[in-house]
Amino acid sequence: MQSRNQYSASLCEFAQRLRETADMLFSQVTERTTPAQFDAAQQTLLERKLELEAELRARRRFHYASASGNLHRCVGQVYEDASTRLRLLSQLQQPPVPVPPEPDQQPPLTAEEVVNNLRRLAADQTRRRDTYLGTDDPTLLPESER
Amino acid sequence: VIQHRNGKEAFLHTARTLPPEARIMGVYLLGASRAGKSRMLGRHLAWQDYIATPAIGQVLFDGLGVSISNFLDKLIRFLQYVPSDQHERYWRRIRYVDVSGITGFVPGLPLYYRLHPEETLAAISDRFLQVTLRSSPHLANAQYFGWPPFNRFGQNVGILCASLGLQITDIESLISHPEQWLSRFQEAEARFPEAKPACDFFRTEYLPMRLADRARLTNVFRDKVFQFSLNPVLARQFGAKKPSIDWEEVEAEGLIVLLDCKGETNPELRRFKMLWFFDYLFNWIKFRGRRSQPLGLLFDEFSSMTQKVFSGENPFATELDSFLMEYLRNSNILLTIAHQSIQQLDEKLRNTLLSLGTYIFGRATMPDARILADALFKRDPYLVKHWRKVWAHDPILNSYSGRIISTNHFVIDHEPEFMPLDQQQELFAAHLANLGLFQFLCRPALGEGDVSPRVFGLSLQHDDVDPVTGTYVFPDENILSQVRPILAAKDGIPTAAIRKELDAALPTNRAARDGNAPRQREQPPAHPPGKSDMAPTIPHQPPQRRHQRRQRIT
Repeated sequence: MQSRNQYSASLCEFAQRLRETADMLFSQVTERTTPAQFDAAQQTLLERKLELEAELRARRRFHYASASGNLHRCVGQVYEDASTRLRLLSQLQQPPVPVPPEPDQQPPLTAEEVVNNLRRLAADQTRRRDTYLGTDDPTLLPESER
Repeated sequence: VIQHRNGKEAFLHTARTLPPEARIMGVYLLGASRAGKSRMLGRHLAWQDYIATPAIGQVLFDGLGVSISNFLDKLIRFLQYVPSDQHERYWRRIRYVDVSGITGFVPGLPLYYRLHPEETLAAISDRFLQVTLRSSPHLANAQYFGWPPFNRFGQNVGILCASLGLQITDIESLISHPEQWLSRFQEAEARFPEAKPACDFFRTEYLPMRLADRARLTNVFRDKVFQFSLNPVLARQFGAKKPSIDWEEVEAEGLIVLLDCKGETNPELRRFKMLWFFDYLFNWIKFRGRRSQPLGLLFDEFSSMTQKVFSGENPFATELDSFLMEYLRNSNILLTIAHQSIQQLDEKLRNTLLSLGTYIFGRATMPDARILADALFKRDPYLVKHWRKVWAHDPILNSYSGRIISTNHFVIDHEPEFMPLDQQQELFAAHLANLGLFQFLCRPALGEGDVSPRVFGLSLQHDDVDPVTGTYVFPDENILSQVRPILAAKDGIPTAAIRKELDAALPTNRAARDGNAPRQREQPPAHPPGKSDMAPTIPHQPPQRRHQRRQRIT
């Protein structure tokens, strides 16, 4: 009925069931898990906890904290542990995998437009063709030398 | 972006950065082809310094142009999200150099230039010789047709050219017809008295020499310079009066200089030009002295700058050693060197590069990986490979007869079996050889003189992914083939302009080279080829004497 966890404290039947749910959720967590999936996992965990607590309330007179003779860890503590662990894992996933934008979220300029813009800028920025001997730009030469 | 593993052989998305104190110790980036090193260089290291505030001046040497493609591609994709009227401030900070000159716009690569008002003519002259020695280190081992005659003649020619404001492209006639240069010797001496020994060398030693002796003295030099006159693009590059790049401007305005050798297909020329740029930069850094403003220096395909030297010293390795030891820290240089295989380098250069602070190693072949693993990981003589069980046994006695009927075996202890050092190296090497695309192992420097004992995993797998398709973004060569010529035209010198300079610098000699020279008064007698090796005009040796001697020989 009861098992021992790593802290040598017992888990009751309900806590054990919640723990199994949590373990299943953790096994699905990968480096590609998105924040939305973490939120969904938190929600699942909370719903499972509420279910078990409802069941526990129905059997209140048969469920005591000292069922095995020692104080045991119940649903509340297991939920708190699992929820904290999920939250920490979601924080370690930073930065989140970028969410693909909607199809209409294209960059405002195309690569061709950028190149055309460069072509226009380069024409303005191109250095005067001046060398040590002078310049090739006829507009800069005195009229007598044109 | 440096990341570590989460314990399940997967990389976490935790970004890490190298502090400036660690970058001053240099970054050594090594990975096989298609491992992602050019991507890291162009899209990450160069890019992050480019967009840093305040901007960091950078020089990117690229032997094959792949890093530059990555950098430009990243910039173009970035500018797609930037309003058009702000593009100018980004393009203005790019200095693109088409090293091959095939676009018709060439960089000026003069071999004789004055970097500082106090530079001596001998120092100016020596640069070309040293660059050639680094490019062709075998010269140092050839005593008769190698370094000694090359150095002796090259020094004197260089001093003369530097004093007259001429370039390497102008000296063909000096080698062939020194008698036509007598007036120029006087001019050189008048301008720079320190040119007198070089002029005396030509007047008193070179002019009276027999043709065969002249050839012996000048053969190596001619071999190294003939292409500068024959190839019109090279003539315009190396005939320019002034280097194209102003390093002061690069540093002050935070420019990035892209030295693109993509179009340079001749490996010897590519090596020479890259070494010329490095020499020009290094000499400037020597004069620049200590500054707080950092300067980024990145090399991709570094091995294309050097040749393996198996005996004697590699002059380039010596130069690089001095650069790393004396100037990297003092001059605040953020150096990154990347290439494909450690076996592309000789041992001296290999040791020089392994002295850099941060290692970033990608996938490697097993022979390479063994060498790299040795540098990357620390081998532990007490690493336990296996805990061996120590067994004991007790006899099981028959309770009736007291005889031994069986034996009870049980474990009483565990003793360690240590992993041999060569097995550890093999294990680490396999780790390197099995790295995937865009995965690296990094041993970062932590600060000045301090490197991390740990090795981190580093991945670029989640960067530069197309937001719509989720696939990796690669440089769009179609777009880049349009961008490169535009940038080359913006920053290069048109070949026509340099041609005009060349024509004006030495019209007579160029005409002589083209076969249009006016007939000289003292023409050498027309000898059948191979019959005589006498100099054309030697004042103290009358023709009769020559004739008599020839008869005696026959």
